[in-house]
Amino acid sequence: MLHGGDGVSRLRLAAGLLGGMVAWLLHLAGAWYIAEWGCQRGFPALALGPLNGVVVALLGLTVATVGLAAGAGMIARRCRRELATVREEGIAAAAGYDTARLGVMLDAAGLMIILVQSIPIFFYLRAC
Amino acid sequence: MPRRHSPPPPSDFDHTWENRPGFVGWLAVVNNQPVGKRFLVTSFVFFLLGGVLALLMRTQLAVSENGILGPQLYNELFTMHGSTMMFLFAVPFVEGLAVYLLPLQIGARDLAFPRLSAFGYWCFLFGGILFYATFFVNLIPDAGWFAYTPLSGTRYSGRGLDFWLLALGLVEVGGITAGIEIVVTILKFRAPGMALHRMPLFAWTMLVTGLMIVFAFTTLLVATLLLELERAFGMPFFDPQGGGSSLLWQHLFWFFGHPEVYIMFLPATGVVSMIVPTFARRPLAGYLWVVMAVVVTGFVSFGLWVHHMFAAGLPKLSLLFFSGASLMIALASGAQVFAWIATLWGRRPALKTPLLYVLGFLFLFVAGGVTGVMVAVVPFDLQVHDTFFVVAHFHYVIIGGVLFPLLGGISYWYPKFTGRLLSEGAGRIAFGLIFIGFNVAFFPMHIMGLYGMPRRVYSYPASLNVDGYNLVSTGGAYLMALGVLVFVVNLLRSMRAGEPAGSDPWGGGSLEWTLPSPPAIFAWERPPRVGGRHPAWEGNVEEPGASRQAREALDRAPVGWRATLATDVLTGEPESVQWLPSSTLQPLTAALALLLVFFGVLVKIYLLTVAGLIGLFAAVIAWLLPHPATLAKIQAGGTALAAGLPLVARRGTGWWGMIGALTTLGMGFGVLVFSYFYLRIYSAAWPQGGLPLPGLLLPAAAYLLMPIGAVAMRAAARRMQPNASQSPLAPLAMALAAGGGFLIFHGILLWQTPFLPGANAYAAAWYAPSTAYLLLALVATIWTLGVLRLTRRAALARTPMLENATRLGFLLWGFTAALGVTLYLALHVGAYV
Repeated sequence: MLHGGDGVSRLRLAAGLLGGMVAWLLHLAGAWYIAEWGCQRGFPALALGPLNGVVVALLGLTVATVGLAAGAGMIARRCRRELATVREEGIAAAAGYDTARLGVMLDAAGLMIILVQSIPIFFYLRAC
Repeated sequence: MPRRHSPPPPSDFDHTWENRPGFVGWLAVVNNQPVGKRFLVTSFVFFLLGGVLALLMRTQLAVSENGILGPQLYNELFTMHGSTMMFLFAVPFVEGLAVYLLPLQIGARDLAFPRLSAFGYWCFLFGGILFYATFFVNLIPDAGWFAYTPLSGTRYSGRGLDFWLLALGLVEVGGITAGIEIVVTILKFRAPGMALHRMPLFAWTMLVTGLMIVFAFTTLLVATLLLELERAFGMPFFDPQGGGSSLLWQHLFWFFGHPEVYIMFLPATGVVSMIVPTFARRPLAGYLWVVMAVVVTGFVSFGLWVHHMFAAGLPKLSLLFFSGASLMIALASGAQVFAWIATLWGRRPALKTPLLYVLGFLFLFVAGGVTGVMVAVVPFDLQVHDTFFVVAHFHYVIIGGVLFPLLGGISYWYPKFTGRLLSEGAGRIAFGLIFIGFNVAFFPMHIMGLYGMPRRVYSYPASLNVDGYNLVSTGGAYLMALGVLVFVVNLLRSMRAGEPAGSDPWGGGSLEWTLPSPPAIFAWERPPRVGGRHPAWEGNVEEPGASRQAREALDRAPVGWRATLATDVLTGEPESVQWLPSSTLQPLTAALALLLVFFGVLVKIYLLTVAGLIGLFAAVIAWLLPHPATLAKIQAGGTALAAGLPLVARRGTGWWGMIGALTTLGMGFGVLVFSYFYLRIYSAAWPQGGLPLPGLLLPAAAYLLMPIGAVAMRAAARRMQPNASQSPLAPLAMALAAGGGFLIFHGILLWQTPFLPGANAYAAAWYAPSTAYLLLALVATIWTLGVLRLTRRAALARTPMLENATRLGFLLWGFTAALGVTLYLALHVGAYV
């Protein structure tokens, strides 16, 4: 817990701070691995309606990581709100408040990059 | 609350911080200021050497079909030029800047692990000497600074490449140690009141850079070790004929290589973020946005490596993810550029030399960034791949985006380093020559590249019609070199002839400007208190009583041993008193032992390697387990402190250092496991070549011993606590037995494996992590042995330091056990899936 028992744990702060960026990293590493592995091992042959196996896996990964980044953003936003009222009271709350603000910004950035990075999936629905 | 002790006589305090006299004393220095200066001076000398190599290359390319340098020598020169600038100049220079400046800037007396930074320096120096020794033994490496396989394999590259790999190994070890050192120092040694949101931006950029170094350099370290294993012992990780993949090398190299660009660039932006507010006389606009941009850049830089491989034939789909990420990183860099411009907007800053370099940087970096966006687009990259367009792009980014801020940083902090000002007139002349020379040298390369002039080729035909551009470019390179010469002469001359600078010649807002120039070796007699982001502008601040009490207790104290305040990661409030080591030859001894390890491999006298390994183990053990008398002295001194702060915090520097070490190890093993799976993806059959599948039951029994040891170590850590009633000796002995048992059991299993590491890529990829794990288990076992030995001394039983050592031992054991389970699942169970 932060000093003064203001109810914001450091674990929550850390999750809110870095969750979005970690989600992006997972998305990139996962997408690269699925593309390399799936294309190499013939995943495109596993069709699911108009979508091949690689695309389905990529879409699933995208949804999961978008959820992770958004969740981290919500945690950061909630931390920021909780600390907004007490941030004048001490250095711990002030530091926590700014860290939570930074978390909101980083999570938004992570979310945005995941979405931009996912555009190719829709362009290459059938190709590897 | 009144202080219980009056400050000791000044001579005692000064004596505590004095270093040994003479040459041996010089070798034994561990303080951040001399070590930082050594990093700066040595890396700058390498920069000058790398510059000379560049001039030789430009002379060769001045006209078409020139015969001054032959193709072989040209290959050697561009390999050494690139390697020097990337490994021996840029990164060590920013590390040196951080090692010197951070304690002054965040209010600490030294770095968190002074011996580690000295060790890092010696590794860097020995690596650099080994690099350049190749000129004297005529074994100059010639496979480029990227050493692509199979060009760097034994078939095409001689012993020079072994020099390159092993020298690089030493430099990487130095880099990783500096990275951990920097991160822990920033997290734990900030002055009271310097919460995360008040940290100077240079510290923010170094925090992110330090973490990047740990991940990126570890990847390269493992990759270079694998390549050396292939070259020396025939383990074909990268040789397609043995089932390996040359693309694996490219993936590993660029997973390091792209973040490397930002490892150089981010500290440079930190320098800019310190210079701009000083000359604009106002705080940096959008502090939090700049921090966000720095963190985003740090993360995203790890997602761009494939954009160096657009022409390597990877699946189109995966190229596009990396293209997207490459475009996105421009936004983060752009946010910083806008913040600097906004800070300067509407002001009339004095155009002193440091600011001139910053303005030059803004122009050049934006130009380099724009071409970066161009080459991030796959079709355009395919057109200009391996042409001089790319050479122009990365020199605009690296010289414009890194060298210019660093030269500005030298000009800005030179008064702090030396106590004297640089000559402003000579500084302006140097800037003018470097700026004009740079643009004349590198702008034409864009055009040459678009005309199709290939890079890394020693000559070009007259029919390419690029003679004029090349001649101009060479002229620009000489003009730039003249500027660097003026800069160096100015540095040397001003050391004696420069005007006295005073403590704050620029009116800077950060903490270092409140210290005399040059500062005392301990920097702060009393740790400062910080109330905002610009302590030098904001003056005295109110502080809680506990913080004042802690600072007063350290006012020129304690005597007999060096100490500084360790503070909370988030808030910067005092947490404990941290012991710091005095002068010692331990770092030099350990670095020499490591040099012997690598040298033995180089000359293929493996007895030397074994002797070096034993020496290294002995040096590290002596380092980690100080003499009990020293521990007792610290313990006794600690109880005399008035502030009521403990000597060891639960999450103190040791804990963070261990986390750093385990992160490095985790990354290293991660690279090995990644390589295993990468090779598997591209293999028609796995295991390759009809080799048998690995066993399941006996290895499971062996690996199970490590979790048992971890549980025992946890029990020992609990029994080390002051209020515990049971002796920790039994669980420690149990952990020791588990470790010893594993070493024997796993060793026998490895010995009995029915194939050799060089059989094919599968065998190599299987042996590498399995054997490395054996070494890790050995380290955990030796740690336990050390704790057990100290525990048996009654005077030390249940002291906070020993309790801490046991807790850290548990961390090590827990990590080792978890890693063992992972390896077992990946290498044994996974092989059947």
